[in-house]
Amino acid sequence: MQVPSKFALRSAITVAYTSGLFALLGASPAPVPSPVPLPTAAQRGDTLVRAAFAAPKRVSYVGQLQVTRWSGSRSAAELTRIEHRAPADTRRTMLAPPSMYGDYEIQRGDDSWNYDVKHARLLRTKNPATTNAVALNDNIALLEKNYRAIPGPMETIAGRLASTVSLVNRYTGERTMRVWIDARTSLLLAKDVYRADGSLESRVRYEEIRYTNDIPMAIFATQVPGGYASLPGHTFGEPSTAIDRTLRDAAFTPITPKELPEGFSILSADISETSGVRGLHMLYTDGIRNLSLFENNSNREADFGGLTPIKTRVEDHPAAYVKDGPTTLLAWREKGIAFALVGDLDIKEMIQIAASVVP
Amino acid sequence: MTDNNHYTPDELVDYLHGEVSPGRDAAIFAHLARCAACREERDLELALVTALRDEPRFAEREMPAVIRARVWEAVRNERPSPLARLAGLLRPAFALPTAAAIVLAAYFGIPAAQSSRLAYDAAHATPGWSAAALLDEHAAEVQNPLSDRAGSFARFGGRPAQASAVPLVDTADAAMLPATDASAE
Repeated sequence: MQVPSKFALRSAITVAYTSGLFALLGASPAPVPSPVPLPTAAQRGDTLVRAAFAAPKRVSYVGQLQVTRWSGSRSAAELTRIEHRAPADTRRTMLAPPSMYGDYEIQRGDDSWNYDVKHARLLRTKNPATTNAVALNDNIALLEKNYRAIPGPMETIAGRLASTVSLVNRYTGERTMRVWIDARTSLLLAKDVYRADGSLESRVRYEEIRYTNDIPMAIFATQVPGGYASLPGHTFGEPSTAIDRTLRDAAFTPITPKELPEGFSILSADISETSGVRGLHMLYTDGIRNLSLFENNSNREADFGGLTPIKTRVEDHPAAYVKDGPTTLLAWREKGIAFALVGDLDIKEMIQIAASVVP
Repeated sequence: MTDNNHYTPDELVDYLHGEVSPGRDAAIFAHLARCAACREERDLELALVTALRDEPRFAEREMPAVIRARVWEAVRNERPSPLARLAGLLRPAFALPTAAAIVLAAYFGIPAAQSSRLAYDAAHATPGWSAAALLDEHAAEVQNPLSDRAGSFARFGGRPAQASAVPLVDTADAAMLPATDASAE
């Protein structure tokens, strides 16, 4: 059986809707005005967003990126120079704040080298999540399922003509994000992130950008500069989309939340060692917002270091949380299992989710 | 470039503002790595740009607790040089109790020394589950280009032997820490 395309379905719905409206108004069905033309695939918001995900793999550029975040009455900003050679070589050099001026990071695939210029030291890390295409594709699918991508007017960012797209949560109806996508290269040039109350949480945008295929490979050289100490790096856990297998490999019965915000699904899981404790890490997402659940059977209390955690409760259990920029970490223990939820959600939502994690 | 193989201030200004061709950009970048005079000139220009940019932000600033904690963690994890440790031992506050402990240990015998070693171990037992490490693990796995954490600049965190994908924007405030605070605690 031939399945009608989305386009054909939408056209049919539009015609039916228009006809129905005329019938309701008692007007003669003929002549029916031609329906408002639907946007072409290239103009559709979801197509633009999907193209933006893929753009860095084929577009090389040099640019200066500014990030600003607002929290209460305070704000903070950073300025980074970015050299990106498609598909996977990137150098980020800090320009501001002054305390980090000159520090740089070279990322090649899932390996990254961090150069701490002031202390003449180098750290190499490996993060397999960077190149996990399956997880990324799942993420895009979730984004399209949970958010409506509504195209807006063309605007100019860093001297480039950009398509604007608002991402509106299908469940809450709130605009979560607005992105600016380069009309010619599809690169994400800017994004604004909004809080649930509609206020602006962060703004990321290129102040300037130019596209070039002539970035010398020397820019991405990763040798140890003279006089630098090379420190042993950290290898992050390899997230697996084979969730069931990972959960089976945990040394204890994994506990998953019974309640999650609308649209959230598990994206990946991995068994990793954090602070000498072997535990399970599950990552949930709705395509934009993310939530990690860490658990282990050590019954060890969370170590907040020099942070000042705020005390709270998860049902009858003492708990504590801290905020790190847009991210909140909530930790508690129950029946010998230590839990920590980390995510870009409101603390009330986090506590509600935590209460549904029942060992 | 001037006759004595240095870039002119105008060329450096153009470089800082990304107004030069990619090839020239790379050449200046490489030159700066080995020429102190040009670096100084570049830093002068950059200081002015940074000061102008920072001016509105300095009106109201407060160090987020998470940044203070990570800075202190880094300070605590920093291993002093053997010379500095030796000098520390010679300070009266340490030297006198140490001398007294040696005398007492000699008097009461080895078991006393062993018990103090046990007390030391107990006080430095492996701490709990590090919140900062969990935040890093979370950030490392969030690879959605639209995510707030995506593309955040990894940097050296409080754990020298471990990567820290701390979002730069927060560490920006670390610059406000008075240098003397580190030695005061």
